[in-house]
Amino acid sequence: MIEFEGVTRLFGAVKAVDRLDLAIRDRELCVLVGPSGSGKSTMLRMINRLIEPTEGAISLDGNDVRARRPEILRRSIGYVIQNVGLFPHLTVAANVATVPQLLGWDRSRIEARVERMLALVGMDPAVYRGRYPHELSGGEAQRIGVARALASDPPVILMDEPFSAVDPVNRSRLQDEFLSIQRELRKTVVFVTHDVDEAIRLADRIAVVRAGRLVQYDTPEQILENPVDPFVAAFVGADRALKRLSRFPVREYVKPAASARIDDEPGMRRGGARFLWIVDPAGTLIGSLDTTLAARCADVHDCISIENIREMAVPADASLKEALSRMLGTSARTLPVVDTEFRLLGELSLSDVEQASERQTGRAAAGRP
Amino acid sequence: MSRTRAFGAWITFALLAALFLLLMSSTILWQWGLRVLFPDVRNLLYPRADPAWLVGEHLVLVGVSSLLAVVVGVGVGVFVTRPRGRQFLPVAEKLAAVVQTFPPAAVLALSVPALGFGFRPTIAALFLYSVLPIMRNTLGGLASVSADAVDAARGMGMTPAQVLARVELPLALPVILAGVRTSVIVNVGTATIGATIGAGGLGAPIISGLVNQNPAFLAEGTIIVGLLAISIDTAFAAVEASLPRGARGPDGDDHARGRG
Amino acid sequence: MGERRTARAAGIDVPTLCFAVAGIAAAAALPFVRVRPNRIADGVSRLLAEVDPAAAAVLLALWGIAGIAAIVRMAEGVRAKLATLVSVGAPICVIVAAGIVTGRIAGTAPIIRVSLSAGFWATAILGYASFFAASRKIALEEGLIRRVLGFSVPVLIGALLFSGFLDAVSVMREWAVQKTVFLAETTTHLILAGSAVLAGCLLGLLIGVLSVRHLLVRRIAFFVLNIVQTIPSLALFGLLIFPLAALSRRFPLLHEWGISGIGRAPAILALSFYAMLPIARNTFTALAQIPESLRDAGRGMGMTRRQLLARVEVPLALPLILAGVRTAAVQAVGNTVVAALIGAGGLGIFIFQGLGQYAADMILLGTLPVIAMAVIVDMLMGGLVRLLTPKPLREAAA
Repeated sequence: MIEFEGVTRLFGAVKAVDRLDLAIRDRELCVLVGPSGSGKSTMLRMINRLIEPTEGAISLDGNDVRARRPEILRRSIGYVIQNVGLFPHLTVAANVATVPQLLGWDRSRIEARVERMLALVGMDPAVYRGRYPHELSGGEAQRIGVARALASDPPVILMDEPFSAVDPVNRSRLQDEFLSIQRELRKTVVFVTHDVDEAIRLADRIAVVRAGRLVQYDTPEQILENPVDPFVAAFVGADRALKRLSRFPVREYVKPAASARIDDEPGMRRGGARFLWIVDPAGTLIGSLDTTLAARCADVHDCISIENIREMAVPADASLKEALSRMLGTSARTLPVVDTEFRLLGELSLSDVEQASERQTGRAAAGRP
Repeated sequence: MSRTRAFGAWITFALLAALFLLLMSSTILWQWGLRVLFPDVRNLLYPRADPAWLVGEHLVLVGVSSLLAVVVGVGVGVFVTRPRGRQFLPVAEKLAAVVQTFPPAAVLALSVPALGFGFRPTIAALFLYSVLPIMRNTLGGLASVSADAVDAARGMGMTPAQVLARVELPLALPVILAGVRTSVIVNVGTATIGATIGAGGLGAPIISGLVNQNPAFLAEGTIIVGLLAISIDTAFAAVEASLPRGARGPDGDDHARGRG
Repeated sequence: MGERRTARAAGIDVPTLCFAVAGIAAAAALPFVRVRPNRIADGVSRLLAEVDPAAAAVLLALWGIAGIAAIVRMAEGVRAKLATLVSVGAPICVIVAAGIVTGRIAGTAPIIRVSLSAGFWATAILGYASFFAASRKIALEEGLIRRVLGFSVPVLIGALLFSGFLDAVSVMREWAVQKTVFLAETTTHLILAGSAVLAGCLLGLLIGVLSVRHLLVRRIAFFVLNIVQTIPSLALFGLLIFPLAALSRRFPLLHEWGISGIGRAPAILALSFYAMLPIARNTFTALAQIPESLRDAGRGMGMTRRQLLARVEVPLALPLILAGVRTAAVQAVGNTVVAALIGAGGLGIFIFQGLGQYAADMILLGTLPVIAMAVIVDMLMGGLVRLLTPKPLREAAA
């Protein structure tokens, strides 16, 4: 548990942090979000004492962070920054090994750990361990940054706008991967960002910050449903309902779908369901078939519609927000849901999305996550 | 690519060093060579000391003063970039900039009224002249270190000393080394003039040759000191080329961030 | 951050305190003058307190004020002004004292030489360093004060020198004896250095421009120039004697023109070589670093090759090229000193003759003007570079 008690930080006469009281629970991903200059980075950097508070105290598991020497404290906290800060003169492996070396681990343990960390962030150790930072792309460099922060297995990770300097495509990929790492490792993560969508996507709990003060500290659902004041409401944006949908993975709402194999002619003409999804023998989605039209076709294969199938097919890992977007884009009210190999898993309809949204609204109103 | 460049530089240095050692090893070679070039001259070799000894004197002059200059220059450069010493930074920079415009021969000459003639005053003057460029390059090198790498290093729990030793100095090294290289080469040149204030070294045959109108002495001095200077410069080039590629930052990219 | 720096109270100013303490030590303990019965004899040292107690008292008081200002809590602006005034006052005090003291001791007997010792020089240097440190903190609006104060010392020195106030100082006595030779050699020095820079400019610019397009030119030219730069200047002068002597023997016409083995010919040749490298290197870098997109845009707008050169490339490249000329000029002044050893003349004559005779005054007569020349050339060229840098780039660089 990370606790801020009455923490204030002055720069000259300016209060960068103003009487902050905040308790971050273990194993949760807490996002500090707010406009530029709201003090969120300052708050983050007070946890590992890169900045010292002017007043107040911060404690880690009940111990004041000032009890230990700052260097010792920091070696037990992972630290990821926006521009990564990889050491240009060291290989990727040496970079990742930095804190274990500072802690005095023996070499074989360090090497094994480096391999594991590189694999964890999705980078083949054999390929990357000997590379230098200048040979990496921005996304690759930040993955190494995360690996480096996790190397000594610290219980707490601090992340200061880690994905902001990366292009949008890579950013969402990095967010996905980080979520899955967090699901596996369950660290206490304090994450700073100015991007509300990122906050909503990743957070277990969000702390909305403004001018150094904590405005609202709640789950993303609560913040979207019940913003505590007009500032928070404006900050999360008028499209709150849409934003909320980004937290629901399609996977949890997919329904079974009627389908037929492409070489199964009788099955295709059978009727029953009005629409059939057509798959190949391996299960990969090919197109859709309106069975009423099929009756009129000499060769049923001519009536299979493959138009738009790529836009319609929504990945199971995507969010309901993306599904809704595809529905609007293709004017389809029902989408096929596919896995990473494009195999059909089921389907999702607009009414499914609506029901999910209403159910969440009800739960949020009742104050439940 | 850089490995072949480093290899090439080392080969060049090895060849030069071999040539140099060959020339130093035998005075007979010199006698013969100079006789061929200057058949009319009676005294061919500078009498006070043989070439190897002169080279030794020269190397001591340059080596001692440069070593001291590196220790002091880098030390001061590091000090004025730490929190405690930061208030002295503007003064240090300005001082370095001003003294850099002084002609080295003038500084050498000034050391005589102050310190007298001979070996040690020359070393003192050489030291004083080379400290400031090295300090300046230390400042430049440390300034060029990526602030993100330093922030990450602190954040990960390195003590200030560890940050300096493991991150700042290795990354500043190319610039510092370039400064040391220039400084040493200038030193070799100034030490040559040191012969006029009694320091010995390879300037002695040159001066003697000029004063006594003896072209053989002149040839002996100029050829050896020229070769010496080029050899030392090549050695530095080889060392520079051997530095790990990743460390060499200052060509615009922010290597700490990846190509991004 | 919302508050003017001058109004903020500040803690102890360590650099100013250091200068003040050093200044007091220098004033009290270092010898101020050395009195010698003639130009070669050794002589005795005297402290400032011995020869001019009033000046010593003033000097100690000044540094004392600076020291107290450094320690006592006060507004930073007030402290900065006090420190600046002291840093100007101290050198003025010792300069005036120098004139008075030397006049008194050596005024009557022309053979006696009174030279300025460590105490004088230390105070002057400390004053300059302290001025730089303190005047930076004077608020920008009051920059005029800073400039006026800054120029006051050099202007005063110039005025005193010309008025004859400092004539009794040993260096000036030496100058009085050597006047005609001094002026001749100074002129020679300027001619040698100037010709070298000129030649260096012409050839350096050419090499630099050609190197941008032609890799072979770049490789060969810079290889040669780098080797030349590495070789000690004295050795290069010496080496050039041989071919030039041989040439002048072969072609007596050259000898008639004054081009022989020793003297100005090898000197100017070597000096020009040295001047070429900084200029060529900076020209090449300046042109090469202009982003291709700018040339592209210019061509796209319909500029001819010549317009492109004049309107885009030259203005952008000029500051860096001039910086190279500046380096070449300062180095040329220094290298010309060594040229005296091969008979080319210049202020090095005084330096080496002085070393030979162990006459400190003659050495100073050579070194001080050379140093002053180098510093003045550097300042002038620096100003020129700033003047010719297009304004936005100037701000970006600042």
